[in-house]
Amino acid sequence: MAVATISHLTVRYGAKTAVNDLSVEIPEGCVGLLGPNGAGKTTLLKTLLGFVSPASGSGEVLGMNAATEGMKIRQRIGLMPEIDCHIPGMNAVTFVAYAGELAGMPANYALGRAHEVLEYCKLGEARYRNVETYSTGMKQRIKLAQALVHGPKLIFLDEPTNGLDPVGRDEMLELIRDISHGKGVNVIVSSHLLPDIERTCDSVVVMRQGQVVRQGSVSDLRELGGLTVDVDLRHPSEPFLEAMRKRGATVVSQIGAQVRLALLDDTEIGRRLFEAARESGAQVRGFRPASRSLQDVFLEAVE
Amino acid sequence: MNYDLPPPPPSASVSNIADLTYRNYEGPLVSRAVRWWIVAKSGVQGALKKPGFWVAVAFCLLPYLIHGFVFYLQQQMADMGGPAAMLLGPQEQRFGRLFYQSLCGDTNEISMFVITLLIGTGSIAADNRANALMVYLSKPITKGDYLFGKWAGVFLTLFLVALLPCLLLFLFCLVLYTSDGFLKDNPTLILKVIGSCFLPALLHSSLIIGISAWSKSPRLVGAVYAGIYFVGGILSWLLGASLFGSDPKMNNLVQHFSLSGLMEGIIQNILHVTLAAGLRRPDDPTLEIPMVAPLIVAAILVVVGGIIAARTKIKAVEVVRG
Repeated sequence: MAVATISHLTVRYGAKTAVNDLSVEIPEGCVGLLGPNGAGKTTLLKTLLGFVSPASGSGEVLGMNAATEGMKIRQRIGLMPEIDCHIPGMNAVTFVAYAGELAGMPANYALGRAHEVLEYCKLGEARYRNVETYSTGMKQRIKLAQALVHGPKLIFLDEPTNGLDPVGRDEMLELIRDISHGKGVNVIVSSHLLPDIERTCDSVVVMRQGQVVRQGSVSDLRELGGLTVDVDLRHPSEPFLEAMRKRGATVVSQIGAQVRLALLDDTEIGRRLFEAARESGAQVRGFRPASRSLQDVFLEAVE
Repeated sequence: MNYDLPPPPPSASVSNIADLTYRNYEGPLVSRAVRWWIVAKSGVQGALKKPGFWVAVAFCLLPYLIHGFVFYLQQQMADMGGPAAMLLGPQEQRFGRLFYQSLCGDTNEISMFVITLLIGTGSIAADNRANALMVYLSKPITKGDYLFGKWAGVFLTLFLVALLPCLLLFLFCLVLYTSDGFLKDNPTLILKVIGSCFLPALLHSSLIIGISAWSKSPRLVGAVYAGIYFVGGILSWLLGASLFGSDPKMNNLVQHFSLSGLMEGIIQNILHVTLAAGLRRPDDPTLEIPMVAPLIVAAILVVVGGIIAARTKIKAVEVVRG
């Protein structure tokens, strides 16, 4: 089932078209929304939340119409915005409890839940500190905590690792991965940091100039077409490459002792590799079906 | 038999909450119709935490204490047949004038103005600065809930600050002067007093919310509000004197077209009191009750204008149109 279905959506800011006739189905799980700056990712999220009115087209979130059922949608979703945001003059636990109350939780439930969520987001020690005194990393976590407090079924995370140091980034990605796997919460992560998406998301939607240019599961997108294998040699070996060429292989690339070979057919790949190794005196340490990085997929899609 | 306790879960050693895993919330939800109250309650609670608020409240109480005490002395002297009866004014206006003097005296007006600055300037401006609207409007509340909640937080605080001392003064009169015809002569006075407390709270809260929504700086909002309050008062006085110097009735009316003037003029109408003469002649037309209809129209414009100004500016996202 799709958590969000968008069909022929167009959003304009005056003369500028931010989202242009976009149609996409966002599946359950953790989905990455990728795209260069200005691709329309944040506008898409804001439209799904009902903050921005589309010029044409429609969107459904969790089976509800984004244009007419914004309130119901916001009851069941959480938003972690990209920009710093908090309620001024409040400490963390008051802020998160207040966010829970705004989402309709009775005050005592909201307070209890605020403590739980702050512990979960690793802000338990700092829960009584004024949010304005928080570091960038802590502000990111409190934004996540306020998005989670009312138990949403879908969370929008807009650039969740912005401004985080490597340790903070690891912890944030771990939290995102934990929430989105096995907790019944769907997550849409908007980011231009590809390693973050690669670590947390099951599938991605790549946007460019307000349109979807690539979509699919991370593993499918990374897979290379045809029969391509990566071979790890002990040392770079030209005789080995020559022996493989004689066996119908094409050398796609070579970085040090790692060689990517394209084969014409899949019959006895292992036997052919080892025969070539014996013939050339090279030592094969391993081989596997070749895959691309998400960065390659992204660059190919947006270029 | 082994009585050793099982080892605690790893998380329990660092937190009082044993289970630190994420759990979904499946508990009850309150009705959406009362969500504005969450915002309003937060506004009132925020005001009560400010020490300056309590200082201003103490100043608000002062006129009631002083006027109540002076009224008591004058009444005692009048009972003894002294000339103090003249100072108390006509019998039917005596108690209304007591409430008018307490509500519209300089101390009370300035205290209400200061409280408005303390609680109203940052009500939306501080949210704008902290991007709090993103938090509010990503939750299931509407712009209307947010705006009404913010307005109600300021309004209720001001209303209660004005009303509570009035009720104490009313109780004082009830205890001491019921036998002198306090209730018999003024059967609707309590309603008039409530109305008179309602008006300043309504005007102050609507205008400050309107200005606050347009800024990210509470200080700037305070400066603009103070400008409107004081400069408006001076301008209306100058306008009245320069344009209608020869028409005392119109002069009296125009001089009420400021924030404090509107409050004074409408409250004077509600309580139906002419002013005490003081240094002026008792037949001075500026002491008379001003025409109420133009004042009500101006008050409605202030209230509606403030709320529309705020509503126009409240947006979850700042859309830059290019």
